[in-house]
Amino acid sequence: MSRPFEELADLDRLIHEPARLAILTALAACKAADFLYLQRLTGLSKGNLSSHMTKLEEGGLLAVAKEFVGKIPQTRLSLTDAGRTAIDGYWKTMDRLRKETRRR
Amino acid sequence: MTPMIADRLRRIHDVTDNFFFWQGLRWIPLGTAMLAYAFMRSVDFSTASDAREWIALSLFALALWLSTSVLGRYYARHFGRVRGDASRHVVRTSVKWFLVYPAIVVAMLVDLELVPPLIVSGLAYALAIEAYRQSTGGGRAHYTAFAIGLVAFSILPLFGAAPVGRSGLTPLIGIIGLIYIVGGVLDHRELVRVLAPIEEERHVASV
Repeated sequence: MSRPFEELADLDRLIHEPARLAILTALAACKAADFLYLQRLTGLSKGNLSSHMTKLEEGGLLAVAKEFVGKIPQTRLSLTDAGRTAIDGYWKTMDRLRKETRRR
Repeated sequence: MTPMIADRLRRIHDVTDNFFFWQGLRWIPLGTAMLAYAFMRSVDFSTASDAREWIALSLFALALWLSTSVLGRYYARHFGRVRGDASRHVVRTSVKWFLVYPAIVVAMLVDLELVPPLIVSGLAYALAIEAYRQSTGGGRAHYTAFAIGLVAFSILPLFGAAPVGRSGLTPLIGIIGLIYIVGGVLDHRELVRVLAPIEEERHVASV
């Protein structure tokens, strides 16, 4: 029999943090989004969002591309394949845990 | 995870997945053009019918430009950019092009040619509006209210309270224009609720 509390403890902390989870959830629903969109979505300051982005990029979940739209520099973010697999796996684990706790 | 966080994440997913459709202000120019067209059709101007159609066409072209170019830039500048994933919406796109749009065209032809005792196009639009709501991220209860209102309007001729046929379609165009305008404003409000202004922007706004 699986043990929900142990599984909960095993959840990837890199993903489970609320702001990073919001970023990954948004990026899972599209091909890419820019910095401004994610800033408005999470309500984070530029510095905080950058810090979360760096952590996710270092964890191999996020790809960051700098580009110019006209003369305006833009930061475009997208999930890597590993990131997509990780967030899908996270939601599957959460769904399973929810079902198991309801059954008890 | 609390249900509130789960709801918030679901909303984040839905809005990102359907970002274009939630940019409500984009629909206002089109709604205004439809309203103006319905008004021109209902009032007996001395303008020749051809000139009236050309004015309407120009209005729709202006609406298209405002919606795509001006308001598109506004949303990109203030809310950011999202590159959507079309492969996630193959079913929606197919249903839209092969079922919803043809159904509306057929309903209009029925209204014009067979002149049934109620406005079939209104019923078709009501179904289309509810399908639109559900397939573009749900929520936004105002669309359900609009759909119910359209059904009510469509059956008015059964009680002798509204015209049918070509005469019934003119107010319908106006009502749909109004739905675009009001729905657009309410969608924009919803979008602002999900994508709250960032601190720097709030500070600038309050100065």
